[in-house]
Amino acid sequence: MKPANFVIGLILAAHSMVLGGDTLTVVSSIPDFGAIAREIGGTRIAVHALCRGTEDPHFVDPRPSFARLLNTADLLLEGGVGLEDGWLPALLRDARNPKILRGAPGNLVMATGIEMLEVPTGWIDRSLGDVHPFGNPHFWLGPKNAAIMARHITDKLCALDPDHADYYRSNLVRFEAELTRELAEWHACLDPWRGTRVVTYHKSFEYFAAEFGFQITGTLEPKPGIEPTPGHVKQLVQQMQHENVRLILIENFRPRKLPASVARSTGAKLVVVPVMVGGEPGIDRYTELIDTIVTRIANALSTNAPAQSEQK
Amino acid sequence: MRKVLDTLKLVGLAAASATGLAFNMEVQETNSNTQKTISELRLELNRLEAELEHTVRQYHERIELLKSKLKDMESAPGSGSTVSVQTNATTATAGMVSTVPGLGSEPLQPSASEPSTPLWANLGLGSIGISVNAVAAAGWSTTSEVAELERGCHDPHRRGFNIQNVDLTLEGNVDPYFHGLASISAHSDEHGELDLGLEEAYAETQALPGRFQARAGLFMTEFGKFNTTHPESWDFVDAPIVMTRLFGPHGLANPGARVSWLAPTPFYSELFFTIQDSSGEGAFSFRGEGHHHDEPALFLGRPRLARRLRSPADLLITPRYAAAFDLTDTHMIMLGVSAALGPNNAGTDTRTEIYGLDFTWRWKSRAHHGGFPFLMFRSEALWRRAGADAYSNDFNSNGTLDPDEPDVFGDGTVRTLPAESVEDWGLYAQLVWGFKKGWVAAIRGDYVTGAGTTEYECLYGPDPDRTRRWRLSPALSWYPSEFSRIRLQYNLDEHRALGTEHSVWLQLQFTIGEHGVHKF
Repeated sequence: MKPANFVIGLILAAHSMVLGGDTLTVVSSIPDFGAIAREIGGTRIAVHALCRGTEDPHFVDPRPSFARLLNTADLLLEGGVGLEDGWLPALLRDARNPKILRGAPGNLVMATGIEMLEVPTGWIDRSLGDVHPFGNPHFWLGPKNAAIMARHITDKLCALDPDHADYYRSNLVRFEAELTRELAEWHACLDPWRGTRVVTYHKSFEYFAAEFGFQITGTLEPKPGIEPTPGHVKQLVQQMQHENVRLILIENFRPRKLPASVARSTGAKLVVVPVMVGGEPGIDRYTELIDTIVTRIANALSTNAPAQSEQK
Repeated sequence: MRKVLDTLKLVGLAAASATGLAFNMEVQETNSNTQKTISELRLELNRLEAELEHTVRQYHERIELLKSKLKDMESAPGSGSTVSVQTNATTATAGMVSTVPGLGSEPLQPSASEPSTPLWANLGLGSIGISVNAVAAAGWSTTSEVAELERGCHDPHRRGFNIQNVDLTLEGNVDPYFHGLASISAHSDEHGELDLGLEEAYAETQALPGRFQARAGLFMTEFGKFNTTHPESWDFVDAPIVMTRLFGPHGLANPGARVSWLAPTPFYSELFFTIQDSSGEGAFSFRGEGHHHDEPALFLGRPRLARRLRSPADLLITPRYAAAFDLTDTHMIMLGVSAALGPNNAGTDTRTEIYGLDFTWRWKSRAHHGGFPFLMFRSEALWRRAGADAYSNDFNSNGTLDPDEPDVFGDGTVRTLPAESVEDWGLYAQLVWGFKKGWVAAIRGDYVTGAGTTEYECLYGPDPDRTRRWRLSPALSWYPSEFSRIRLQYNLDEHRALGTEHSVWLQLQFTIGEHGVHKF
């Protein structure tokens, strides 16, 4: 089904070029926005992501080919809350496509309608590290946010291509139903571990943790975007031992050596997960991404728990 | 529309069957058709409503659970070292509680309700991006005449401390049509005095049709890669020798206009066409000024003549074409060819042509952490041909410098120079390796030379601006964050006229304000 969808998408995209652009070209900053758009747009849109699923989304190389791609885009899906600040604005200027600039009909800020976490309330400046004034920008890992994003994408696609509004709306209904079903399963999987204390590398998992009731009590980075220092790591290890932190959750593009050594000295489980669609082979849909993260955490925690003897 | 769709389907089907996917395809098409029927939709809607009701119930239960948990946690304060941790946990939970009802109810509302968080309130639309970029270097060289080795205005010029560049850059959208930028920059010269000036000030269109973009104002000319790079983004402490030799200390930069066109090719390919004034300090090889204001201004061994603009052909014209290819999803190459054509003031009717080739290869790991590791190779080669007129400051041909004859060579001599054509070329090649987050090792080789010996050099000795020289520069940089950098660089200089020199520079760079522009 999936590869078939993809192939059909490709064929239709190729033909639409010949026949004069019948499908919409959608460019997403990170692949997750694009993956959700694909659920809604199906074969009627051609989706391209700038950042690959294995990359650190704050530091994407602005390739010249991105400017060309953005030039041909009908719709740009961007996080919009500081995630892409280091690379997207310059690309957009080079792309010379007024259709997709902020505020234009072909621009969708994916953070729209999403309750941002960790919005700074006091004074912030760069001495605190890379703190985002609009809050934590890693909101796509909150599964309920996917429903909000899907709805806004649907509205946008319907506005850009009203002839096929029914198609987009029916796909939204299907995707929302699937998300609701999956959410129940994910909760069934992780609810036994509500309240588990977790340490992460970067503040990437706040929305995921909020959904499943994990408590993130520390990060390996002393401040957002600042590399771990020996002093900070030492303090973190003590804190983890004191709090009985059982899980270190890191993105798959982070270095493994330091997290592994912290895990060894604290007895916590190190779990490495993809954080974007395409982050690992076989993760092509949003639900597959969350599924992978959920399964991996659940497996790690259950092999760690003394009550469960079953080893995987 | 229908026709197009049908054709699409037909052609799509034919192609798919060729790949053995006809069956899947048909199923897919039928699905999408039937889904459109109202009865199906209604069914789906009913089921969904039921599911959502169930979900809402679940969420309410969970909210209650969380609230009671929160109450418990707040009523049991932690002791000593756990206080900060308790606060953390509470914030996280509080965020969760406030999040859940909002998110839980979102999918229930079919009408798009607008954001509960006012995302744009703090953004200040129409705002101005302000940044201060500072680059300073301290170091030592075996020569006290550092400025003879480091010819660029943003290069370190003296032993000890140097302000290479401090600029204040203001940037923002002017209106729906233009984006504007202005940058005021200061640097210390070879005497340690600050030289303040306008570096760039231009407006660029944002909504021209037909893939065009136009820019007007004072700006760095689109020639190769290095010429348009600001000192805070350089990969080394100093500018490549070939750039400062052929473009002068200030690089190629002047008031003018530029039009660029993004070609509709399957790969990135862009044409630039720039017309600028051909006089001033940003047009060294043209009707420009010399290296130092207090030295006699000689160009190709001749005094620079006051030369007026007589026709549009006396403007500086710079065409460029650049293309880039993604070889794989980790490798990228970019190629460019540029030319700068205009009149020069080594004669009354003479012209300069500069041609350049640039090549960049970049690799970035598929899984990178903060943008590291990466590897980048870049090389630029430039070739210049300049015409020079015959000149003599011995106006009455008596062989001596009389009081009414100018001492343009600064040594009280008279010289008689023939008309000739002078060719120079040079190149640099650099390899930059980001081996660990925040750490970059780099090495650059520089080479410049005059092509052949000119008649004026045969008569009056070698021109230091044309003699062969090379330089080897290894450098190590550390970025504590993306807004600061500390760099250590060693230069081995070999200059045919000056001999071998060693220099070591320690450089500090920082940025306050807006993110720097990461150009490709």
